[in-house]
Amino acid sequence: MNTQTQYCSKKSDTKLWLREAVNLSMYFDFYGELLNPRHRQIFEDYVLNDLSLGEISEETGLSRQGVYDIVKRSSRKLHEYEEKLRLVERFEATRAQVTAIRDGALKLTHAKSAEEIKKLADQIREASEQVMKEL
Amino acid sequence: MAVKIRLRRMGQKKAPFYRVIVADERAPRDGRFIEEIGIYDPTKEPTVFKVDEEAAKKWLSNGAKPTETVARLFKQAGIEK
Repeated sequence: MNTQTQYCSKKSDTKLWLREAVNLSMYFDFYGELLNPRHRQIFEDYVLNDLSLGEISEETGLSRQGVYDIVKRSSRKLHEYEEKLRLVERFEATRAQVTAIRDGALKLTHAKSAEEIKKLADQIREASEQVMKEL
Repeated sequence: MAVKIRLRRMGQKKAPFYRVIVADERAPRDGRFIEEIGIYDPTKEPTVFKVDEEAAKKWLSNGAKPTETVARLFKQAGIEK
């Protein structure tokens, strides 16, 4: 399924729509600098500032179709960068592991038994190894 | 004066969360808004969507227009005029 076509489409299901909006906003954080400045501004207005195609069209003097094409092309590019580089995917995996390490360490300070301490220490070590693999 | 209800992306890079704001249609980007009525935080598990329902209904019945994304969030949360 081609998710980037979902975002502009009124027919797409709400969960998909929202997930795509959030994904695009993450991709934009990582790869936005690779878009040309004009496209970047339009994409930012559409995805981050939640302006409509019509509003952007009025503001820039471009046709609504022109704005739509730029948003679509930029979305496609960001998806392509992610497909090739996987920076967002790796970032999210690492964030999840680091969160597990932090939570484990917090629990460790309240651990009551040697057994519990060992279990938490194992969890922390495992999560650390996952992070090392991602690097 | 046309009033819109939009999401505005806040938060640091790589940690998005959104405010649901009521703003004049003509002041989309300069940060000015009339009222903040909620937040949407997709980084939390499960996703957090908190909105002041009374305020949302008040604005909707006063003719404020939600954007497509906000309309979807409202619908999901069962908020109608």
